[in-house]
Amino acid sequence: MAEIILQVVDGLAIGSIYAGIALGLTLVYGLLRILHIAHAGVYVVGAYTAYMVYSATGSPLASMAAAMASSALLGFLINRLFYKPLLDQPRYVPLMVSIALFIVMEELVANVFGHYPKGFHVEFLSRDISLAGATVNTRKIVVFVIVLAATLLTWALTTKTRLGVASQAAAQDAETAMTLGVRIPLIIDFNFLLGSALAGLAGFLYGYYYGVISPFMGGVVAYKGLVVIVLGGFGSVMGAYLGGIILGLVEQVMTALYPHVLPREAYAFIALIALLLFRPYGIFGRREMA
Amino acid sequence: MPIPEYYITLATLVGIYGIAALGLNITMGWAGQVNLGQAGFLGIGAMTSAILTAKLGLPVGLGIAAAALAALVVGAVMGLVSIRLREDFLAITTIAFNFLVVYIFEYYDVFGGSYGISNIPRPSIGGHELRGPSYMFLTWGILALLVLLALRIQRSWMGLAFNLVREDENLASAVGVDVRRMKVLAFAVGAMYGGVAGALSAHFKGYIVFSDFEFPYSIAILTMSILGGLDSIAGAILGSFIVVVSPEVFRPLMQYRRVMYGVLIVVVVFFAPRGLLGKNAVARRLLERMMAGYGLAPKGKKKEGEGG
Repeated sequence: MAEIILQVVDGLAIGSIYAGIALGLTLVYGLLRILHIAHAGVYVVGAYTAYMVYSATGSPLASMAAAMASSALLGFLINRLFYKPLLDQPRYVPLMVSIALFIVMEELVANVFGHYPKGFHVEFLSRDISLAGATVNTRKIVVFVIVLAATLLTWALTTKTRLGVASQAAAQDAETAMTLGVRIPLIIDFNFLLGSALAGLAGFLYGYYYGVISPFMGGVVAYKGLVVIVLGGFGSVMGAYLGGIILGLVEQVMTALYPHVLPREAYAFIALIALLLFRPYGIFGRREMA
Repeated sequence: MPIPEYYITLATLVGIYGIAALGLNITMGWAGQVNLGQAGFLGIGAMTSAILTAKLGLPVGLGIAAAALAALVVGAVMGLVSIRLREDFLAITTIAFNFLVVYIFEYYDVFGGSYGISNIPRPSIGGHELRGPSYMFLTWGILALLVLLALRIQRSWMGLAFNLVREDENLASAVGVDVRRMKVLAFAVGAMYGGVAGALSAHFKGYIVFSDFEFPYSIAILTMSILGGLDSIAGAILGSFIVVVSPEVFRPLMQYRRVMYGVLIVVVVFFAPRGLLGKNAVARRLLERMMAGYGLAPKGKKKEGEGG
């Protein structure tokens, strides 16, 4: 029993970090139909900003805010400088550019901060508590709660505010939305700022959860994020959240049950291929969303 | 005076990656099917040949042939997948394929697991082991054969059908092209080139391990292809030359090697979307004008459509 609780808590915490990354991806995909791999670079930069600010100030809150701000700015610039001029190209062209940008960011961070992981110990609500017989560190619960709150906030922003509704309209039919007076470029900027801030948050939480960050922490996540948004149905905020949580849980449980069949990371890619082939509209989506 | 071994090594690598990039050109440049997992096919070829020759003691020629066949078959399966998926969905599926292949190599002992396979033999002719210049000639000989094959495909009905599938699938099927078959063929042939390149690299280095075929290598091969021009045979070889040689020229920038791939892709996409030698590409037009100046260019506009 205790073992099961441990695995589930770990799965939820890791899944929350995936969800935090995938939220931004899904916002971008819903609007621009770009698979934004460079988002993982934004996440890495967020983590390193958090690390620097925490080293300087010792404040977890300032560290988190700085990570979100730097990531938001970076994501905004990537869109303005690189995606905007490529929107009329075949869809794999911005994808290639996105992968290239991701490599550049990853390597630049590695060359500036060193290729080896850095210890990043945030002193914030970090102690062991007993949960139904299992010893659980409160950090895992904090990660889960923060991402859940951020998701609900994002969901509210995209469904309850004027800007959010306009953004949904733009995602469904950009031309019609434009004729109705929706300022599409503004909406795109808004989505990039919001989504990238969430990636920065996820970068901070990764450091807080594992106590260590590395220039290559975005490596597999860049592509796993795609799995999550496929899982949750493209463009859906709640879908991306649930997709992240499910992926975290499945990985954790499969690795615990069958440690020698395949490495942890492989399940995500098997799921991706299977989903794209047989349910491209996600596990919650309806057929017409594909 | 013998040529320094260092240049021989570089020339061999240019040949090997030229083959891989040429295969990618066939799948992606001619038939328009995105493949971001070419390194996975290199891995399948390399592992097949390494297992057959190093572990089972079969002759190297047979190993390379089996590598080509194995990659061809897996490529055909990926081609079947490409019938259902388009553009960016196909792109991420090929990325996932690359990751999965590498995980399988890493996790199963047949493929040497995390230690890899060592003592992969060199090919030998009449008891004479091919190394140094002779291995380079073998590589370039195989490259030449594969270029001839590519030219044959390009100038045949199949080459036309590939282009039609790329430009407009509906139109292609309306004029009687079997679009599905062409997609499977394009993937299978492109992957076969990758498999041969992988096998050649395995016998060249004598040692391979799962991480030799990770996703960034697919990006490196893609860089070569788009740099030279996705639709150009000569472009694939030029791209391979630039990507293999330039990090050696700029030694001090070695630690920024991967940054260079990224920057190259972005620069090419923005400033020379057809690569250096693609149809109507800037460099190609310049070259043709220069050749015309020396009275070397073929008469009229005949060269249009001859991507090589």
